[in-house]
Amino acid sequence: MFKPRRVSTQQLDDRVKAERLAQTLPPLILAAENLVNAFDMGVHGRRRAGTGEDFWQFKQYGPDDPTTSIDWRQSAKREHIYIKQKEQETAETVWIWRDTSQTMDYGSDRAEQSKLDRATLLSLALALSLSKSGEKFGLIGQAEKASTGPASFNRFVGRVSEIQSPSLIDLKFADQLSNKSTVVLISDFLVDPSEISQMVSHFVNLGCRGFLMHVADPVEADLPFDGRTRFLPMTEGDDITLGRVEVVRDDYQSLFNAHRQELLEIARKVSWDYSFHRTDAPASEAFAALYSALNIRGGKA
Amino acid sequence: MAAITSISFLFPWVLTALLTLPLIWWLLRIVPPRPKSVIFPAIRFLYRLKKDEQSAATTPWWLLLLRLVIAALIILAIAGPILNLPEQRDSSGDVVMIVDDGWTAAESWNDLKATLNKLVQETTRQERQVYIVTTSREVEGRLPSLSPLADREALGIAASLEPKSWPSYYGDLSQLLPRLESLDNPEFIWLSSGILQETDIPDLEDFFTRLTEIGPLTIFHEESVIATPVIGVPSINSEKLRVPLNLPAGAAANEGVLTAIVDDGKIIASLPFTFLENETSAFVDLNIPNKIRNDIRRLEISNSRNAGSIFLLDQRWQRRQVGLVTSVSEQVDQPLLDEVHYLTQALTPFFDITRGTIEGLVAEDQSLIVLGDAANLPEGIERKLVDWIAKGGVLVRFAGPKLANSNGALVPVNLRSGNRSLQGAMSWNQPAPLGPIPQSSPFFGLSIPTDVAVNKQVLANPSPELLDKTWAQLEDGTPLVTADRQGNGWLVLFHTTATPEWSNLAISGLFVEMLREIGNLGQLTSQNFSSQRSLPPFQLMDGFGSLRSETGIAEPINTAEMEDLILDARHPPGYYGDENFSIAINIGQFEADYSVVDMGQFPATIRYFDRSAVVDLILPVLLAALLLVLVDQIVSLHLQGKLPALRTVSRAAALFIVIAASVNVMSVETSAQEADLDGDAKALAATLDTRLGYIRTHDSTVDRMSHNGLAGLSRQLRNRTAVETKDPLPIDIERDELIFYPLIYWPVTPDFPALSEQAILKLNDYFNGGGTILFDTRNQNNVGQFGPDLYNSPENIRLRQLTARLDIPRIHQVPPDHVVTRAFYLMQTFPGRYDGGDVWIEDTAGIQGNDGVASIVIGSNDWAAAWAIDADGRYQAATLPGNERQRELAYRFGINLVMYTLTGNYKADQVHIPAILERLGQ
Repeated sequence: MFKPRRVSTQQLDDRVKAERLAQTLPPLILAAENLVNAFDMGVHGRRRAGTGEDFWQFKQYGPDDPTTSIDWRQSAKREHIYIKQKEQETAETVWIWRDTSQTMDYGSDRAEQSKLDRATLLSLALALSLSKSGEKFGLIGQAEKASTGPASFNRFVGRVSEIQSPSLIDLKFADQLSNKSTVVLISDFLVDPSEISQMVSHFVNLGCRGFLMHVADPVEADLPFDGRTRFLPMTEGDDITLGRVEVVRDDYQSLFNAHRQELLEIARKVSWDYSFHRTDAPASEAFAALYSALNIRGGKA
Repeated sequence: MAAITSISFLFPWVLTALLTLPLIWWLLRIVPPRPKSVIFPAIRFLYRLKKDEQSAATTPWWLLLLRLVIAALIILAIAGPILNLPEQRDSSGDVVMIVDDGWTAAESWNDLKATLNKLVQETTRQERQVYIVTTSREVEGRLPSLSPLADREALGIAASLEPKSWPSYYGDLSQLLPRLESLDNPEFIWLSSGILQETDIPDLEDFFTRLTEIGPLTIFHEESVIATPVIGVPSINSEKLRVPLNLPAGAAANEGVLTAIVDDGKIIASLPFTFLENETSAFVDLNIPNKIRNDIRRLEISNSRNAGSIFLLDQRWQRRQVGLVTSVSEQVDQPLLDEVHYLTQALTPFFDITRGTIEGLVAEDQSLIVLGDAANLPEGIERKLVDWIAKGGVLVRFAGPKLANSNGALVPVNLRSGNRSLQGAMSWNQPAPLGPIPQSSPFFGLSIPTDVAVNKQVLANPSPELLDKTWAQLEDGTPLVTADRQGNGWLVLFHTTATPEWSNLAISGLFVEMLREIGNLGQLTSQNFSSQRSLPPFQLMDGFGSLRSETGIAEPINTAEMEDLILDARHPPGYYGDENFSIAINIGQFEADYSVVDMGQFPATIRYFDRSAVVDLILPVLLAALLLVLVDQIVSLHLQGKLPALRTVSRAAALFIVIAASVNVMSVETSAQEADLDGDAKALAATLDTRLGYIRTHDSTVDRMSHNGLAGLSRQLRNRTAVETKDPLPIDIERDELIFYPLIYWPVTPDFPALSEQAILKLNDYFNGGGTILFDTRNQNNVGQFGPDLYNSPENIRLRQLTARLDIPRIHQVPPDHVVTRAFYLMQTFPGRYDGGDVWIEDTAGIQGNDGVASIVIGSNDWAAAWAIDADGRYQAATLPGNERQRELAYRFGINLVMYTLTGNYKADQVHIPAILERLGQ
């Protein structure tokens, strides 16, 4: 039976949506691996002493060293007193939030994939690279603590295929977030800037660093329509009919850019990072921005 | 402008709806087209845009105009537009249409009928009572019908009326006057052919004068009356058929072509004729061999379609065949004493004479045999003659010294032995003149010259039936011509000689007429024209001159009353009788003078026929509206952006068109470069270079193959020989000059058009000037179907027809030592695409001139196909049975042929080179 493609704002059945998402996951995971491999990070340690599990070096005891750290067995073998130091391990944890609101599920024919798919791809790529570099990561909303390793990545994939992430407003109820973790928010941010600002300050109050990854469809950025057009919303709201779209295009673009500017401003104030990504651009650009901003280090050799 | 003014509306008040167009304009303006819808996630920004942008778009002005046009068209369609509606007459009351449906109306019948239809439609629409009166008389004495017609009835009559094949009689119309007077406020309309019998004109004038007292009269007629001549009774004048033509008086100068048509519809003769101004009669002499003349069944004037321009011929116009008995060994030393000479002279005007022995003539089934003076016939021959007479033959014998001394077998009456001499040394009798001819004789009615006298005769033994058997007698009652019916035939005896020896009857005009009457007897074996005989209608002519088998109410004609016959519904022109014997009745044999009527003499309004038909425009207008609605829909879709591909599609289409056009132009250019040369350019092209030519058949496949074939041959010529031939040129046999081409290839197609006189002259000139034509019937592959000589294949039949009138000497198969077999290559077979066909060539032995070059080569091997190469130099047709050797041989034949036509017998002379050199050396 021939079924025309349905463009509808109607809520799809949850199960159907989950299946749809699950179908797109394997290629997305593949794409994420490709993406991550392109960044040849190499795995390396911090190569300095610190609090960690692994042995780093023996060092001559100095007057400022705690006596509890003296390795007596080693000291007995030698002339001087030695202390045993372990390698530094930073407890960097990255929490990823991928917006799954209705507006995210939009991809115009000018974009390679929908915003949601692109956001999922970026999330997966980020998780994968974090997993490889041995840093903890988690999806906001998950019940488990942030962790690292291949098993953790698999769990992450399972989480991603879950349908609903909490909405932006609900992020404040997300527990599990430890102090000084990093929050990566991937969204189209089609909400009121005050909401974003509120949420960012919430995270800042928790002591988190953060990253705003603003994903937009090229159509949203450019408004490339001509003539008389009726615009239908994806969520509740009135539709709007414009007589000649080309006349208002410039106004629209300045509005959109103002919105971007506002987001940038919000991020800058709390020294978060902000990046704008169009879905017609390669995903690697966005990932590169994330990668450099988070300064993902390599894991142990 | 005329087209616009001739539109009228059935419901003009609907047009007031056009006033609502401004309203529609306003409505359309405030209802803009449906916008396209898109789902847009970032709609929150749009909410913040200025509101006044939202309804800025309105319908574009041209779309508005389009829709207004649609609305206007629909209103127009509802108003019922009609083209060529006759102008409205507001009068009420009855309408009487007098329709001229005699044969003279046939020529302008279409216009007349169109006008009649329109008038009837209009009248019925106005709900007026219609009467239709036809002027061709059904039966003499019967009143023309005048009864009120219902609307449908009137329309039916108007649609089905056909012209009759007999003339109109206007004399009867005045009998209608009393009834016409009783009509309610009548109006009269006369639809006239414009040609009347002159005798009718006073009657008609009288009738119209009285008619106008009753009501107004309008006359419709053709703007310029088409008058065609009436063919009169043709006469046979020795070798010629003389046909009189009578043009209606007052007709304009006229010219045309008289054609003679035989039974199967073939035209065997056509002669042009011209009537000068004020000339009303002319003669056309058809000079046709007797045998063919007998086959003529009708004479007609080309392109005319009326019963008067057709003359049907029956047996009376056929020349009889007669067998004249001569002995083979006879040497005519003194023709004036020879009875064959006199009989020949007397028979020639009305008969085609076949000479021969009795056996031969009987075997040929001659229906009439003339036997001069003869004694007893051998028994076998006599029996054959008796049988032949019994079957229906007519034997005419002549007396003479031999018969007088025979025992008198095979004669109609018993003869006394010896002869009666009416003038001589021993007799005081004067030569006897002829007496009255008995009534039962076929000679009855012939005028008897007084100076015919009989000196000698053979005498009949008196018997009771002698009187009945006598066809002509002397003054004293002794029989001069006796006849006896034997079986189906007749035995006729002239009791005198066929020479002036016994009587000068043989050199009188009466003798010729007597023989003619006997000749009728021989053909119309059981007919006698003057006897009462009823002939049923067989094939009758309709008003347009076509013969039809249905006879309708026609009645048999009585041969005795032919003189008094009047053409009407009971006796329309045509054939009467049966397939064996029929008599033709024609309009032309009745002496009626026709003339073109000057309408000005009648007190009436004169109008012309209007052949433009009433056209209902509702459907076309609605269709146009529908089409515009479609256009509107497409435009709307485009405006909504639902035809996103439109731009790319149109660009691609434009590109495609440009490419296609350029490719087309290129290909046309290359092929048409030389083929379409014309006039001087072609003559120059043909003369500045040596070129081969081919006859254009107008069958594009054949022509292309000819062109490519000769192109291939030309290439081989350039490669292999010193002959530098350029591309071949096509030749239109009717238009182009042939003389420039050394060799012309002529593919014969079954449908090649017949050659004009000019083309035949041109071809004969070409042959005389030394040109050579290679006829190729290209059908060697059909040997299985038509036999090895292909005699009956359509191409060969056409070839025979084409060449029938060309100066072609004897042709023979190419002999083994012919120059063609060694002009360049040595070869003995001449295959083309097919192998094995015979090649025929003109026999030039003993013919002077043209350097011994044959002007004609005929074959069936389809050489052009074997030679043909396309633009890339590839062969275009496979050879059959097929190998490269065969193609090579085909090229060699072509090269040999070109060499032969260019060098003539030079190669033939080469044979003698050794001998010549030897002689020179010594």
